[in-house]
Amino acid sequence: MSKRKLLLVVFLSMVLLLSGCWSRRELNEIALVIGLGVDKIDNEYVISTQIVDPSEIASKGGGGGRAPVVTYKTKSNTLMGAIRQLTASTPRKLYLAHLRMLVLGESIVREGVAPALDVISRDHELRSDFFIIMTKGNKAQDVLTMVTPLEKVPSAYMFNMLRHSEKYWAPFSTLKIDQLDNEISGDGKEPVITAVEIRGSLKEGEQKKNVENISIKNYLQYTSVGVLRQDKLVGYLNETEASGYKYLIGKIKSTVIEMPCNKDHKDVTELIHTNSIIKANMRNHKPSIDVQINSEANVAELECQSNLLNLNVIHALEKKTEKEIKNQITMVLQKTQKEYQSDIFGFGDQIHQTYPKDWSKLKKNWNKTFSTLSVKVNVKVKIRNFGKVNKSTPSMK
Amino acid sequence: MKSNEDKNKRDKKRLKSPYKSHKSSQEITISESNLDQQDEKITENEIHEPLNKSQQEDEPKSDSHLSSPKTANNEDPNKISQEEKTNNKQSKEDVQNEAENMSANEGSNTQQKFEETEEQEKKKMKSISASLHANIRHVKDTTGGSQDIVVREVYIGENQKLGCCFLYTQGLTDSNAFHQFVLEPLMIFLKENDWKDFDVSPESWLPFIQRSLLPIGGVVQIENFDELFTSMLCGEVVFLMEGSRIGYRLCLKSWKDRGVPEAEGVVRGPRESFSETLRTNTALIRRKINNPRLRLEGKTIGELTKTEISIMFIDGLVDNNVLEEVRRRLDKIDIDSILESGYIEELIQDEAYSPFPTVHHTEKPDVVAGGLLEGRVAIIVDGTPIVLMVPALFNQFFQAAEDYYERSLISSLIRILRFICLFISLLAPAVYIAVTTFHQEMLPTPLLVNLMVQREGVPFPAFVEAFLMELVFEILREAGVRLPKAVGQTVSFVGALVVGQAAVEAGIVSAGMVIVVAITAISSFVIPAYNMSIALRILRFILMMIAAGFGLYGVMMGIIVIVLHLCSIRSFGIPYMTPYGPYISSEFKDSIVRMPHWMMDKRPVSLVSQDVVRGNNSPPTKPNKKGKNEK
Repeated sequence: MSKRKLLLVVFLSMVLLLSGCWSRRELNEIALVIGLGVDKIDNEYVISTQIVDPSEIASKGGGGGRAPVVTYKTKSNTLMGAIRQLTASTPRKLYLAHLRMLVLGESIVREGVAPALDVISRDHELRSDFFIIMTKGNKAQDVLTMVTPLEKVPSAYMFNMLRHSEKYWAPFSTLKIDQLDNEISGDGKEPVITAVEIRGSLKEGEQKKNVENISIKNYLQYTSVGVLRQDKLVGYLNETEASGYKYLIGKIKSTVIEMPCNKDHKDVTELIHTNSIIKANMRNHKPSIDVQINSEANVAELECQSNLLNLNVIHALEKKTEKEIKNQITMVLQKTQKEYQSDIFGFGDQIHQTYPKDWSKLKKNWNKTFSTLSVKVNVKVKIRNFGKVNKSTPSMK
Repeated sequence: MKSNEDKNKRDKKRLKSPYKSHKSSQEITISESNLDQQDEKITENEIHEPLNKSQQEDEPKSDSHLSSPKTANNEDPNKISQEEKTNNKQSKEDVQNEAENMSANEGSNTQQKFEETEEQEKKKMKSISASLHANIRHVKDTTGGSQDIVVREVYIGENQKLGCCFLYTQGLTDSNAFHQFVLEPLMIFLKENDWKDFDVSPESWLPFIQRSLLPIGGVVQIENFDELFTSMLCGEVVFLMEGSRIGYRLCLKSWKDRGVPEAEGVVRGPRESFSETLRTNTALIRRKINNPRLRLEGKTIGELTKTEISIMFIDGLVDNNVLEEVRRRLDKIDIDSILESGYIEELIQDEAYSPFPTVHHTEKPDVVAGGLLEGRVAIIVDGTPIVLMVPALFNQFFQAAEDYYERSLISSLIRILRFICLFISLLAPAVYIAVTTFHQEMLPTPLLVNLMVQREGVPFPAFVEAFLMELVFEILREAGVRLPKAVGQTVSFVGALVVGQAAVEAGIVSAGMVIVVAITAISSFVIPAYNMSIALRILRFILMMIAAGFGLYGVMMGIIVIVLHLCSIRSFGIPYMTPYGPYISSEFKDSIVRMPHWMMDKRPVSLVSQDVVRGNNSPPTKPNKKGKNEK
């Protein structure tokens, strides 16, 4: 009996010892890839990887004056080839699980982004919680070399910037890989990608000097939203249009709406809660869409004189806000229907869900149908709160 | 009405035991609580205090039981001593209170019920018989021949005609005083006296003896066995005489002062601990459980050392199979010496090769008393303050005595904390190793970057690092255990400075690892039972190795193996993981949480098969608007 037990112990320890530490990677043996840029230049992929240099990131003292991140660039015919090629120039194994930002160059989005996405959604190492953005006018590799203030890691800078602006400012939204995959492969909704631009000059922005001044001259900014048809870029929406888009799909978390009250001044309301109900209708095999948007708002800023204790004033504000929202929506509808012919709102999906049989006929030529689709928009705004004062601040007349 | 019914129910349940009556069961509970409160005072005025108390107890009893024969009292007016007179006022108040309680209790009951209880009273209330031998036999039967109950038969008077008997509990009685002030006058002095003037009948003898021959403060008359057992087991000497239906209790209480617990400190609760003397230890337990059903069996183990060993249990609560098993295993021991209860523990434990202990040990009498009341068996070894208790279940090692003394909400939270600490002390380093070497994707990015920063320049793999730190901690701990207190500080100082600070600054270990090891170490001390925390420590090292080889997958496998093992072992026939393993819902009230005492109305059914009911309480009620408590 004891012999058998001994044998068991021997075997068990063999399992432990012979297998070794199979896929062990110590923390100081991996290179943490935190940003990935993909460009297509001269029919070759250019991969730029932003890697964290941990010893430089340490909050307390130290650091030898090196940059907190390093961005490597490699060229190859395939993406995987480019990533693997990087090991020839980095001392550590690339570790992609903590990727924060995937930056797609405008060039590659124009040509079609699907081939580049394949490896990214296929590789098991990548978690799917990174954000995808595109560049407008710049190359992805340039965006990833900008030195950023406040956050030492530029990818984290862009990550947090996008996250917060989605929360508090209407136009931009986060996008993750599975959503992008779905929208490209599905037919009822086309994808949009938030686009980043370099403000100022790239040359100066690459220097460490860029963050040594109090006023930042060269910086990154989200400026517009790229509209795709299938996986190819067809155009951009500006901030106002992008807001309209977000109202329509009901993804606004909180934003502000400005409307003129007289020649020089504006009133501002803050939306605190918005939802939209998109309804598909079918009449004589002709689809149409009804959109009902319900919103709650606070009074944020009143530049003109008005007394909020008067209900009529509040109603008027509500009406104006409604009108402004509707205006923005109409703008974006016009642009996408007439100019881009890309159903970024997911009306197709809605029709698919309500009238599956009709959809099978409609989907073949959906982009055409979409451009002539009649969309009825109804906005309802309710003002909930007007802050600490109930009259506007008296001004000199 | 309901509460009355409950009370009756409870009383009926308690009546199962042969020695208690309907009435006195209430009184005994009262007197028990009195005892506990007064223990502290006793040391100060040892003679007066118990005396007052015993009369308070005694007086209402004789008054309220008007039906019981009250012969001796009437016949001998001498008997009412002066002391009793002075105490009369006080006791009368007590009587009134008692009567009020009685009427409140039984006021709503029907006449029939009242008769019933009276009948029961007559049956159960066994009064002392005239035959000394019958009395002795009854005492011996009821106490089950417990070793520490001394029955001393003497014959006094000319020609040794008068048969008397002294009954007392060893360890609780001042035997010197007993010899000097009781035996000596009666056995030596009495002979020389001119006693022929007296009529040789117990009725006249007893008062004489009480009046003239016992130079002791407290001498109180008793008439039935309830009083006899209560007084005998709380340390008084009971004096019976052939042919007499009454006896006397002589207040000769005296016991060793407490020791102070070394290992099991408490914030709230008794601070006494066992000593190295067996008899003192049994007396400490007797003092907690004043009940003849508390049995004590003696044994001598060790061919050379002849070490005395006692097993204690409560007859009727203990499971007979467990008891038989304990006796069998103790009988099987064949060893030349026993120096500490650890010898016994190793020789009778269930799982010799398991890291988990299957025998519980403690140095606190209240813990043992609690265990006995849950139907466990205590094994007391002479020469050590550590008392063993079986069966020991996994759950038990995470319960501290204090849990039952603090309010249930507090103790429940503390218990939950202990179980969290169980997992931390078992798993923290293993999980840390697994996550940082295999599953970096599981960490939030900022945390990972932070950890990476710390690990920059650390030359060892995480496992070696963790192992090193754990090792250093174990060394420090072991060094601190046996050091004198003055030097102990130096060790902790060097430990904190060298290990905590310098090792990190030198870049040999990462700061994160120091934190993990420190938290693990502290958590392992949260577990009240030292032997359980050692078991966890052993397993922690094994899990660390598995984690270094297989990551979280390995850790999970390790946990599964540990749980399977825990579910497979037993302690003296009781599954170790009760009430989790065999699921027993009623015992969950005293497991991860501790429910209030009024909800824990049953003893653990896995250990106790009969006499399961502890009590029948309803939650305390708030006073009504008038500010009076509802009865």
